[in-house]
Amino acid sequence: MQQVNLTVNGRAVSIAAAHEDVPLLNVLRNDLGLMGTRFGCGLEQCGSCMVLIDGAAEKSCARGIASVAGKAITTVEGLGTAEKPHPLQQAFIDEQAGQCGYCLSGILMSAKALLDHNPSPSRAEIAQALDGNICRCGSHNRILRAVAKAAASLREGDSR
Amino acid sequence: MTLPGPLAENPSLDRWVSFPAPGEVTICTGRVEIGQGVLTAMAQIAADELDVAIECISIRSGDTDLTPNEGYTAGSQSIQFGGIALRQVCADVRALFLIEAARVLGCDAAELAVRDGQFLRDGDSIGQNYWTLAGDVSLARNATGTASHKPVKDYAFVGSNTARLDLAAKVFGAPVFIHDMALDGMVHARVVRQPNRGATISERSMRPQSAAPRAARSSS
Repeated sequence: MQQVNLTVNGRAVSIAAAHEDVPLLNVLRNDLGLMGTRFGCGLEQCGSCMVLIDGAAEKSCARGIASVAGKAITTVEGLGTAEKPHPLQQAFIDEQAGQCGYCLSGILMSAKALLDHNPSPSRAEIAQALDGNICRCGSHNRILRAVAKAAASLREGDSR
Repeated sequence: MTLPGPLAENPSLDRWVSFPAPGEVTICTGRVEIGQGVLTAMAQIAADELDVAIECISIRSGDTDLTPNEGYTAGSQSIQFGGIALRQVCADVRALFLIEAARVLGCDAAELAVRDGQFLRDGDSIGQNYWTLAGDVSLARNATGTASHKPVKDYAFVGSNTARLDLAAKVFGAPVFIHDMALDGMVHARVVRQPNRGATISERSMRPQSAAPRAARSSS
């Protein structure tokens, strides 16, 4: 049994994990009930499980829980809510940037990490930042537009 | 009149449409949202054919106790078959309400029109709408398929951009996917395969993949 303390969306959490390699994603979904982070491939190939770990976008599906001890995790639930959407979430709704939507949680987190350190990314920089996220529906151009729109919105002072 | 397949199998109009409260329309469909946007499309079809604002419509989907049983949602057939069935239902319902409105007013149904759910005569409201008449128009009757559809040139929603009904919940990470369903006592199983030929599965791969749920604890 592995006791792991970490912070999830600003909340201190203590997890009694069966072993050190239990994936962070499974802890988020199964043990903490945070279903917003999606399981796609389980092999760190698709990016649907992307979360922020100490501010960096990282895949959570094969990330052992012990390796995030003491770290701060942010999931899509920590980004914003329907009542108080993050500018990224608002932009994705405004641009209707999604078809099935399964990839969006991961894409939002990758985009959040990007905008946190680059408030004025070029289209190429946005595409590069989302390179680890696969969308197989075909909303790519809308997604790129939405991230650019959110960046503009944040520059105008709508900072969260 | 031959009814579209799903309507022939689920002919009662109240299986598809109801007016539960003023300003509200409930549309039932046997089709389910699997990322293709079909529920938004059904709302567009119903809003056009009933002549109501699309914001009035809430969709109930894929519950065989409550919705028409349309079998599988597969094969790109939802609009082709389910959509045309819903369109016919809404045309029939609209026609029944127009007949009732005409009866109340003592005029011919052909003199009346519908806009945003309100019944009009010569462009003016007659003070009746779907909801004032809902108590007098029983939808517990079978579709006849005789009402004609709205001409394509008059579509307000189909063919124009309508925001997806399901997208916002997904952007906020709501548990809306089938993977997110958690029933009491449900456990997951998965096949663990060796990564390449000749490799063997170690005990390590067979360990539990979650923290012990009841041992998880949080404090703030």
